[in-house]
Amino acid sequence: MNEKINLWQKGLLIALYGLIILMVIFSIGATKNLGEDGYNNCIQKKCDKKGEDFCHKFREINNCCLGAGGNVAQSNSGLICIFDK
Amino acid sequence: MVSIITIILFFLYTWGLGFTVTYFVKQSENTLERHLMNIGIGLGVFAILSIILNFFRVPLDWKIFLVLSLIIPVYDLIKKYKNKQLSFPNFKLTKSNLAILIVLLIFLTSFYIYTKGAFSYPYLEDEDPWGHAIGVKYVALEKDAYDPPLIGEDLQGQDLVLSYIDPYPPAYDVFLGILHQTSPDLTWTMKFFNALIISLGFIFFFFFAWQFIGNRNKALFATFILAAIPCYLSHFIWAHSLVVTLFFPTMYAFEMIKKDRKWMFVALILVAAIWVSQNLSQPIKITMMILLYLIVISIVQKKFFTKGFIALFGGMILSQVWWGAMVKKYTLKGFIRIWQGNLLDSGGTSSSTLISLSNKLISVLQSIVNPGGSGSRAYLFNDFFIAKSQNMINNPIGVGIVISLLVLIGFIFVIWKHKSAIVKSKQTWVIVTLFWLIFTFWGVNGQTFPISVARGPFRIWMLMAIPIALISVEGLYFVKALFKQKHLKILVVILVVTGIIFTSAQQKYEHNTSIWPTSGSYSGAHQSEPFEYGLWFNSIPDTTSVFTYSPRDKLTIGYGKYSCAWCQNILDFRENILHENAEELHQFLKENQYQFLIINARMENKYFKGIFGEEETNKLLQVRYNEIINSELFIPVYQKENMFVVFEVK
Repeated sequence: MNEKINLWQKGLLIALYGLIILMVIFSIGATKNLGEDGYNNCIQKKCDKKGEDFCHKFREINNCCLGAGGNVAQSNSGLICIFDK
Repeated sequence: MVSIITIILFFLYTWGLGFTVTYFVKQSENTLERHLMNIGIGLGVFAILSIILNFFRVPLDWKIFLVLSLIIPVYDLIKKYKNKQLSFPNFKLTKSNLAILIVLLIFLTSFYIYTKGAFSYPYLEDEDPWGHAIGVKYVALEKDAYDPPLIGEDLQGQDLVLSYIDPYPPAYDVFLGILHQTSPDLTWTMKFFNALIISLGFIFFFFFAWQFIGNRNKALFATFILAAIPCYLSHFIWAHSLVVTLFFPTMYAFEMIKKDRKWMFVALILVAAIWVSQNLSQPIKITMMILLYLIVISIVQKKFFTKGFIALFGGMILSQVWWGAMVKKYTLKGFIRIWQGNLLDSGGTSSSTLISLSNKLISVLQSIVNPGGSGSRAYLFNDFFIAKSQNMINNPIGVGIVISLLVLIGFIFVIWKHKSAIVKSKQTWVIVTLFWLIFTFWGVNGQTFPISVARGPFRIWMLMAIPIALISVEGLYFVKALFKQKHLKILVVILVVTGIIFTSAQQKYEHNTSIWPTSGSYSGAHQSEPFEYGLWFNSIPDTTSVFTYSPRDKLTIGYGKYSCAWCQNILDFRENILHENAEELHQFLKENQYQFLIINARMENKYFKGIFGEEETNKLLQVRYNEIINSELFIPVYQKENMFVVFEVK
């Protein structure tokens, strides 16, 4: 019953706790992707990486918009992402 | 149309092959477990066996698989008969068998839901299933899983017609292709057996979880959660259905190594099966999960799990029967380029070999953990917490309120309860599951976390469902333990199950039984067009050859009819089809035994403009239509106004 934990097990425990803390920090950090800025950054990244044609596809706009907490809508100038105030 | 014989054959192949490879190992005492797991194990054996047979150029014929499946079972039967040991299995309604019967009920319910959805429309959904349809048809007819040698392939020498065969590992298409050899209706075959494979997965998961957790009731509850959680597999037809399902018998085999080391060979075969069932991205993630399992077990149990590691790496080596052949065919550079697109080219242009090599390695690594992908995006709290009926069809997302709460409670509870003892051998399954949960959660959030650990975040949801199902059980047991009286504990379980049904299962049901969209070939068409196609295709026999004037042979095949999409002469003819007059078209169709021709102005305009240019299409298309109509070589036999016209080739 009183099995002692060895160095490897201690390392594993530290890795587990460390990863849990990291996941919490990353999750909090991920909130900066929300809102209009997050949406614009997301689109910009896609444009930089794969060009204008790609980043203006409905699928990409929709992915960025949903990921930023918005909803895609149609305007005169094309697809836009709107956010609840 | 339903093929009862093929359903029987499915179970004969899988059970027989499972029986064969487990014949020499110590199996469970429980008859039901033994036979049901033989099916799961046989599913994996079939996958790698088909690749090995193909490697040695043995025709992929159902009769060969049937014979190979039945050799050992028949031998065993004869042996038992001679020794007068034949007896019917003694079935008793024990608690274990009752739990298995409940799992079978979960399987049947899931199977009903998946098939109800899949058969609620006559077409195949989205794009992947149409691509698989061509692969399945090719295997069924050509009995081969290597590409035919074609002229005019793309730069890497890759045939773009058979996109799910060569270099894509073809085990999924081979399996469905073999089934299609005895079940003439391709659409039915694909929909039915895809749903069957996914649903059988719940049975395999239960037996794995039982071994893993060591508690039958916890395993049963985890199985219920996996079946209810929306982000686990939908009925979408793609190789993921097979590869993720194979994870469970594989993990079962790894667990059984502890009881009989010969299970190492079964685990090895199943790892190889995983590696030939999907195009690397899921096998890499699943291997990562197995690796985490092996490392954690080795540390926690203070004994290096040698046999486990041998099974993992041995399986990967065995899978080289496919991957080695692909590298030989396309060269390593070509093969990597095919797999990761043009990432290598953007990796750097240094003239230094060393720098170039390191750039390539970094580039390959980046591609392995690339958080892109068509359906991937940043996910918000609500995406996890609230399950939605409107969801992605290939990999739905979302967990649901009650299951989310159970995971959260379970997660905190196991950390708090075990403290440092969580790394002791008694809690092996808990800590392995926690590492799986962290890995998959990190993977799902690949677009929002600073570092990504896996490719294609949206495809990791289905893997994350597995640790979620396991850890939620601890959440339930914690909540149950808060109440002392037995009837209150039962009430808690009933409330939780009801909560899961209303916050996860219901959304999963609605999503999986709704009408899913279909191929981009129909974009811009009236929404009833794919249904109208289905109506006509269903009115002709399965073997009928139908030529679509647009380069959409995959539609003909996906609707269950025939067109030789991969044949050189068809591909060549299509390259210049607009310049061929009605007589030439007729002659070509007669020579190739096509019975019907479909014209669809919207589709032709769309695809021909891409091939021949707008001017050429505008100039010639109407001329060709007039020729076809006036030539008397084609008889109009079916028409849907503003959609398509079907001609019989005279």
